[in-house]
Amino acid sequence: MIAALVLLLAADVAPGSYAVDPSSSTLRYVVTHKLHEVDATSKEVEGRAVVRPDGSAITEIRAQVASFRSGDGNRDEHMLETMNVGSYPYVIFKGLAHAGTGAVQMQGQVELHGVKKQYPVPVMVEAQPDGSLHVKGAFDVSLDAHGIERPSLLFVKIDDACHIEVDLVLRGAK
Amino acid sequence: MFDLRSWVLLAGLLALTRAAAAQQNPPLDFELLEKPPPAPKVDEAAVRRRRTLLLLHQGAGIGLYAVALANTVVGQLNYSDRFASGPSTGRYQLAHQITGYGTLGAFAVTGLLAVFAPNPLPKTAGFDRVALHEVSMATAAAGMAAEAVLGIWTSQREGYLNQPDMAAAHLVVGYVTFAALTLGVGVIVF
Repeated sequence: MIAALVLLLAADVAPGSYAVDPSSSTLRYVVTHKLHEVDATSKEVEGRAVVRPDGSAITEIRAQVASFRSGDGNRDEHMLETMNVGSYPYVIFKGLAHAGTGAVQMQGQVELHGVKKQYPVPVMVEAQPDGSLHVKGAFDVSLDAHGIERPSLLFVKIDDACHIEVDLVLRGAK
Repeated sequence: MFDLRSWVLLAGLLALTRAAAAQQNPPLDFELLEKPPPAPKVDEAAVRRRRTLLLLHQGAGIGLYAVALANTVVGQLNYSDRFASGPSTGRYQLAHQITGYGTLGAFAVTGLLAVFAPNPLPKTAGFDRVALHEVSMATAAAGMAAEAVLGIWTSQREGYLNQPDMAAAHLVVGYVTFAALTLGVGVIVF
């Protein structure tokens, strides 16, 4: 699924490089079928953000498609088949935003299933006492737009909208 | 034809359009992370074959459940007609034979579609809904085999004193088999 992280940097965020702390970060996706919902989380997120002196920031976040776990092995396996994990093993997000803690809108690009699409990504950035940044956000992506053949059950396909939630901690990188 | 001024205006318009587009679509062609290690090779053809066979398995499974339900209903009607009370007419016997053999055939086809589906991707460990589905269907398969034997044996005991007992055993095993089938379908659908 998509790894989305928007890093918002404001005047109270020092310029420099920040790395995602995988032990404290998660990415989650939710897809909906008429009969049930599939909710999977990845705890193997890697990413980096660079805050420029002018206050803007760029970020790149990546996660292996195979790292998402829903607790249902059958559905996870089905998702790997659907996502052609052999050809497209990663989901990648790149974003650009103006500095600012609090609620911020980032212009982002999601590369999923080999297709890149741009999305506006709203996030909330909070500076933590230990100097890290806690970023939380959510947005929807279109499975059809990324050329993904939506799985079906009893000949009814899952909804096109895939809801993404990000909960990341970034720490100053050396 | 365009003169020089027209070409200059056109070039200016083009530049403005590109600038506007760049503002709306900022360049995101940077790389902040190291190149990831290559992913393990996956047999994509096997993945497609698996999807096709499991889709067919799903369709066949729906048909199987329908005919099994019909068989269970007709089986109960047949038992009630032959052994429960009142005169035995045998009017459900042929229908029960047809739906019974139909259920066996549908079960075999549905099962084979799943058995022959390849597994090109690594499986996650643990007892999940697919494992429960397989256990339920294995139970149903054993039940169907027993039902075939009991059904033929019962029909050959016409006139014998123990025929009603054998018919009752066939009935009970039939319900247990249908329950296993229902569980196996339910864990996948819901």
